[in-house]
Amino acid sequence: MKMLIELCVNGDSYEVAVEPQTTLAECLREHLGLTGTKEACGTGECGSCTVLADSRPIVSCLVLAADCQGMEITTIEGLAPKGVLTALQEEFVKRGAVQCGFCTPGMILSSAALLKETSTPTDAKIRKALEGNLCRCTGYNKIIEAVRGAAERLSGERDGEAGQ
Amino acid sequence: MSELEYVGKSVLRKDGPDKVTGGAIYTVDVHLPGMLAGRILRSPHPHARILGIDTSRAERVSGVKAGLRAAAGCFRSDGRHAGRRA
Repeated sequence: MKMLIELCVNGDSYEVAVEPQTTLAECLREHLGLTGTKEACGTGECGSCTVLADSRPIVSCLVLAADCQGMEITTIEGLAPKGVLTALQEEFVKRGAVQCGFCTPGMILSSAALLKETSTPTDAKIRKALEGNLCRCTGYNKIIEAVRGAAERLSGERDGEAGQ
Repeated sequence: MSELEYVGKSVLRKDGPDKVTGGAIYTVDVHLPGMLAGRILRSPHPHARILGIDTSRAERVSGVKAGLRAAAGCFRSDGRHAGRRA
């Protein structure tokens, strides 16, 4: 039996009719057409379906859509809504951290959550933040370099603002 | 010798921006009119000899259009034989 739920995704409000067992990943992809969220394993192991719920990364394949009412969900489509890439997205492109790109939305959202918490993460912290995201192309080094590069740019901007 | 346009230079990948914004379309993102979805049933045992597959319950599931078997042809939910594969 379908139920009507209200979701807040990327700042927009949606009323969606879902089954009680519909996952957030399925709801985003099939009901809302936000296919930037990728689902690979469907069992919470690969992290490709990672989205932010109230700024915290969650694997949307293991969360029921109905349980996300009242949360602010951010998907990869909501990170740069006006088409202007964030520093993090730019660094991923610039540093070759993107190959097939299937893990990329999840990688970027996990990284975005980390950078919101701290703009000066250690490499250990970056690795820890990305431990739930698997990539089978890059070998991870370029991804970590991209996050580090974005962190340096963000902390630089903050220093610049502080000095003004 | 004229200067090379790309060799020795760092070139941004063309599909990069699409892939970091969720705009890139993969086959799994494509929906076509009348498109059917398939599911692969694999043997839970390595090196097992498949002696038979009972598809009768699968056939009865509502919405099931056809079943394909690699070795012994395939079934369709209307009971007609739908071809054979080696």
